[in-house]
Amino acid sequence: MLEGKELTKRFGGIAALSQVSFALPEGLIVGLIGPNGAGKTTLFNSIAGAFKPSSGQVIFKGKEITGLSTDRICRRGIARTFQVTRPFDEMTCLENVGVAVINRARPVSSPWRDAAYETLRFVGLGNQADLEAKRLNLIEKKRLEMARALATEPSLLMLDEVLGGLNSREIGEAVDLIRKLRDEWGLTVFWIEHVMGAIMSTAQRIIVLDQGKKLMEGTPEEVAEDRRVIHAYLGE
Amino acid sequence: MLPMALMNGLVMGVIYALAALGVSLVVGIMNVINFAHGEFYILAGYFSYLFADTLGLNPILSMSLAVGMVFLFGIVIEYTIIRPTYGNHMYSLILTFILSIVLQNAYLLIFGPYPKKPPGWVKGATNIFGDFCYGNQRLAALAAGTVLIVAVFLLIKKTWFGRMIRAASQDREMAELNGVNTALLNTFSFGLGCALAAAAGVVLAPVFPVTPTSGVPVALTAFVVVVLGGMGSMWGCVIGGLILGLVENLGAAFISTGYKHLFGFIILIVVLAVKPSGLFGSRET
Repeated sequence: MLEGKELTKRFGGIAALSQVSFALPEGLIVGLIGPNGAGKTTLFNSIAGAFKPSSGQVIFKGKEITGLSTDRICRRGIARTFQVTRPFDEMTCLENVGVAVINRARPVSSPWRDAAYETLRFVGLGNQADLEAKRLNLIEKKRLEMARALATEPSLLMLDEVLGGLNSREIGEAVDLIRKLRDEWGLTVFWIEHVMGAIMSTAQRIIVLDQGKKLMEGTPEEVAEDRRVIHAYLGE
Repeated sequence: MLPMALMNGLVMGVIYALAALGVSLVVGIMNVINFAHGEFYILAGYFSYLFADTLGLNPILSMSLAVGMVFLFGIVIEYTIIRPTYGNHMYSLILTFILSIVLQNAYLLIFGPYPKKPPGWVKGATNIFGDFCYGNQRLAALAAGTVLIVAVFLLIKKTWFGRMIRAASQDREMAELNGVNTALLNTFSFGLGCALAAAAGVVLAPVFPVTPTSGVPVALTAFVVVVLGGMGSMWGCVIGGLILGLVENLGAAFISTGYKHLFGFIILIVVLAVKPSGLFGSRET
């Protein structure tokens, strides 16, 4: 599905990411964890086209996408959300999602309004469709961000700390939604998360980054017991 | 004298608003300040003169062709000069400034220093409320300008193209992540901005003939209107344009024509002193 080959990203003299290789199998939820500054978001940015990796390759569905422009990568089928939500504040929720619907690769058979409304209803924002995005609260903004990502009709969804700032009930709802995306929509999910309980119980595989390098990869159980991981998180 | 000055103010206000919408669009979506905006305005006047006067085409057809040509010219300029400067606003500022000087001198070389005036669309004058006679050409300019402004509003607020423009001007990166091809959008928006300058140009050229440098005060006024109305606000452009047109013409009528442009700047200073973000501008966050 998605493969990274020896991805390296340098900012000046500092390697935020060095020689990271990984492969995501289709239809799984794969977690990406690591202490702050481990290079998780840098890895996401290198994949989604926010910047070109200094070296290495990104292969998506058998084709190289390294360094393609963000909008082209989006139309190939990769969507992402941000830690801090960034809706188009001055537009309604429907219009927010509409932008993604209009631009997706597959020709839109139904008018964009219907498709956008359908997506909003799926994430539970059906009643807020005509509300300006700036009026939403945090959890609603996160839902909108998710709706926008889904409206691009991705096959790979990259989530960057979607659970941050949510209470335990909201976390439960969000995790259910993510599971539903995998099981019913057949999406592959690549997920950065600091809420360990949620990611460990949901993801089928976990990749651990530390100081720009891949520390290990394995099932949640293997990761939880690995001495290097415990060391990276807790120190000596 | 008052109704006459009001009418003049209204006509100029609408043209200012149209020119300012072009500036505002380009600033809002691309973060590029196009110093050559006035030269695109003049170019359309010259084109319209060439098509209508020299080739003898129908005035409406000439104007449409002129706006279309300036749109294409704008696209070429974006592709060749502006695109390489993305990421550094200073370069595009300097380059468009140079472009304006180059164009002014090209016009001087090609068309000469004397004013060129495309033929009017209508003749005669209309008696307004039995009060005074007003040139039909100016009335037509007012009507055409109003129609064009409404068309721009519909384009931005109601079409999918407009929604992409609004999305990209609010958060460029996020728009790209939602599949918006912002490079292409930039090219089109710049062309559209130039076409709006051109529209103002062809509408006003039969009233105020064009000379190589007569675009300068128009562009300057358009920038004033954008700042007055508030960066990025379309309503700001319209209201700001009308205020400026009315104040200039009322001032010229009742105080002195010599100070015509001074009144506009006084208004600008007052507004900025009271509300630094402009009439409709939102505070920078």
